[in-house]
Amino acid sequence: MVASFGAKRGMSPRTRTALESFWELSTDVPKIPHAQYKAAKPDLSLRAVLPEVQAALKEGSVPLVDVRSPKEFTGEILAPPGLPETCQRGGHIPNARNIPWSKVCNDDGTFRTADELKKIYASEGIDGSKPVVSYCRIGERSSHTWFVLKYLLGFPNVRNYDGSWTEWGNLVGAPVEKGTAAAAS
Amino acid sequence: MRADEYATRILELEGWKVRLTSYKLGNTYHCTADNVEPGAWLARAQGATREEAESRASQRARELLARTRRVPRG
Repeated sequence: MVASFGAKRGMSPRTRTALESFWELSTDVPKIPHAQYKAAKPDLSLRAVLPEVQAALKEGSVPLVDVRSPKEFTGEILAPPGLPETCQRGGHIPNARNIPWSKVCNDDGTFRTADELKKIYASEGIDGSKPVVSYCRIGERSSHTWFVLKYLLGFPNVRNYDGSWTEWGNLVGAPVEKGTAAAAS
Repeated sequence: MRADEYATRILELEGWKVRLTSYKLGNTYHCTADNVEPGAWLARAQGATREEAESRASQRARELLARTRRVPRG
């Protein structure tokens, strides 16, 4: 979302890293000086919306990456444990590949190497040769994957499905697949 | 000040893995509970002791996790 409006920087360090690394902390309220900032016009090419995803499904030309957990992907649960269910139906968009977002991170939260990342996605037929659309429940986890595909692997055409499963899983008549995906061709 | 006595552990609540992260800031213990996969925060709590903070966070996490439905296959 932030990138859509032209922001080029702005990634705060993980809270866990700050706490584990014994950084000096403070409860003082920071004084942030006012600045002039003008958001750029939105770059809508970074986001995929419903009609585009429906067309992608129909044409079979755009791989879909579902970054949710396997249990969400198969439809066993409708949302991550403990979080609100935002959809009526469980499952995934037909033919989507399930590559959970956390697979791209090491245990300490850092990203895997470029070679490791390439292998993870290539094993599911995602190699950047075609446009890719990522999605999750609300588009948050899939924005992480969007960043990996676009900026770490340099895939030329990557978009994040804005409505994600909250939209698709509530659409009357939208095709929904359940269970595990077939092996990538 | 620094976060002292930082510790994490994973346990199971209502059939789901939960990670409790606790640390001491000043005289207060803080605890957060997340659902491990995808690691979304479920609850935060504070207490005079680690046990108190963890107990409060676990209780709230348990309430939320008890609402998670599993849809039967088939």
